[in-house]
Amino acid sequence: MACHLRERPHSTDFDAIVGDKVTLIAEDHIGNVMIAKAKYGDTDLVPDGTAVSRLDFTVAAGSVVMVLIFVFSAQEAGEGALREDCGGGSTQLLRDVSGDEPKVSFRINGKAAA
Amino acid sequence: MTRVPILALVMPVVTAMCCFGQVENCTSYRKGIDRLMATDRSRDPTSYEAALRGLLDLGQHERCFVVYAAGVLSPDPAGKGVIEREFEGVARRIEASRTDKQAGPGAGGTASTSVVSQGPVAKGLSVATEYGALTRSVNGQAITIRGNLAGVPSALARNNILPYCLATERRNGYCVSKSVLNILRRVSFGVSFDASRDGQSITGTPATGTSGSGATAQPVTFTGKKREISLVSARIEFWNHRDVTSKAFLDKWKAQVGTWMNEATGALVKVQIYGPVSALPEYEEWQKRAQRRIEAAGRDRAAVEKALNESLRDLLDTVKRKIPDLGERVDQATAAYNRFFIDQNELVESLAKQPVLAFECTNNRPLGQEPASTFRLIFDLPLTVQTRLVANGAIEIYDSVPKEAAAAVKRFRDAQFAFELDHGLGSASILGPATVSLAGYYQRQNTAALLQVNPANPVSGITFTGLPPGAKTVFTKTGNIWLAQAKLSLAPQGSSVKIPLSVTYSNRTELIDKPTWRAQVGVSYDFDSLFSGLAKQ
Repeated sequence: MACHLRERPHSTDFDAIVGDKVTLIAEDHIGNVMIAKAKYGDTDLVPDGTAVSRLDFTVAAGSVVMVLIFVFSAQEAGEGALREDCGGGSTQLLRDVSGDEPKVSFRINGKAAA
Repeated sequence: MTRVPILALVMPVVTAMCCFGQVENCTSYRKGIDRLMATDRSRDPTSYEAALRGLLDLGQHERCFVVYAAGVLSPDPAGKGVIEREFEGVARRIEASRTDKQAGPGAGGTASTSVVSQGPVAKGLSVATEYGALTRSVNGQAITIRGNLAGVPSALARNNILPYCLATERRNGYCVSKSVLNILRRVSFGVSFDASRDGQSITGTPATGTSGSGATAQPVTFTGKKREISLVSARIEFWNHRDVTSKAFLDKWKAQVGTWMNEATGALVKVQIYGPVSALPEYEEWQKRAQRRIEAAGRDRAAVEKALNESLRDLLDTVKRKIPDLGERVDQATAAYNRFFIDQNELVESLAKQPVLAFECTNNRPLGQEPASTFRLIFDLPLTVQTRLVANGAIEIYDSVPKEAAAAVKRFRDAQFAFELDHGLGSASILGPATVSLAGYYQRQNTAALLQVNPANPVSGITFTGLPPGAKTVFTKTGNIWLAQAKLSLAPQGSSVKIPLSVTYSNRTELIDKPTWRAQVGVSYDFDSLFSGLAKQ
């Protein structure tokens, strides 16, 4: 299966097709890494009081900010990666994450299918 | 109450020297520059460009951008140095947010309802009030403040009174780091105030002969010395084996991190900096300019750092014009990051504790008795996620022995041994909503306990027999004292209150030479929440 998020040329943002369902996963490298908060536009993707290692969202139209707050069992020394689950056992790296920068943000440009 | 002593106490232990406004000191920018320097543009232009774009992506370096912006935006009208300004800022925030902090006495105190001193101490400060006494014969109501040295600086940092700094980052001015907190957390203190000393009361032996002399029973009352501090203690953890990698630890961490970090992560996600900045048309233009500037710096690291500094300064100048409340957002973000790191560290510390060996020194000043000091070793051994065993061994010596009692009393007052088995009823951990405990205590009374009495002011129902007229000191019996206790500690979820309810049976007390049943109730409160009122001015 193909990945839904595509890195925009000469940018750190991503493009995606509106309505596509995307699955993000937090991968552990040093210690455990989990996502405690995720805000896509105005939508909270992680229920209050919980932390998850994977989450789903549906791509909205326009340039929408995704904000993720990671928590690390190894605290500041923790390291991990944010990946997209592309299905069929394949993933793609979106961001390296580390305990010193627990907040990661990027834009997803939702476009209509061609 | 003056704040100067607090500052004098806190500042020297939480300070770290060095350099706001220099991006290379912030971890993610340093890593980004490392990544850039590790790629050769001529051989692998794709990787170089990706590293450069990553370095200039605010979404990947928001905390460092906030640190940088806080340093640059900080006003310096008097031309003072950064350290001086930071100190003044901290002092001003503390002065402007007055609060007075207040946590039961250790084992064997005048009004202690516990027979075993616990290993871990409150993360910050706690206040407890308990009524009763287990091994002493004089009841009292004690209000105990407990805490460790890390409590104040971590609370100040959580509320953005003091900045938090990552261990790998040096900063100008005053900041609290994880390593400093971990050291301070090993040292704790406790002070108990006896709230009942103005209205002395006593329970005593009924009017049965103790000497067999057949003398007339004489009513006697204790006279309190109105010393309101009944106990002071200091404790240091010698050995605290931390386990932060085992499956058991990680399982506990995963189970609790969402709840524990909910407020801190909520505050962090709420502060919007990347969103509004990246929405500015000038942001993309800035990225292109900054790329050219850094590319021009070539392979010279110092030049790259300088170019990044200048580029960030440009970005700030632009953003300040376009987002008038940027300074406020930076302040909010600094506070949110401080709280995030402090809370994350406290969660790990609360879960990572394995066997703890501590030494505690207590000065006990019971009502109507001679002050004595206790030297106690405490061993706290978690057995399972929900069960732990705590053992204490202690000796107690009189601070001094009155001249009139010197012939009959030795300074080595008693030796104590106690154990407690705690089992959490919550499903996740011992920190769950309720804990049941079984405890045992043994005391070898090596020499008599001294009770000061006032024959001129007897209390009805309190009688001693065989006491000579005018006697001011009563010598209790030596021998063995043991007791057993069952306790239920209730901790309502979402509350900082803990309510211990216990029933204790003892073969005797120091004064009363007969078996005794007692029931106790107490309340403790975690006063860390007081610091939530401390807001950055």
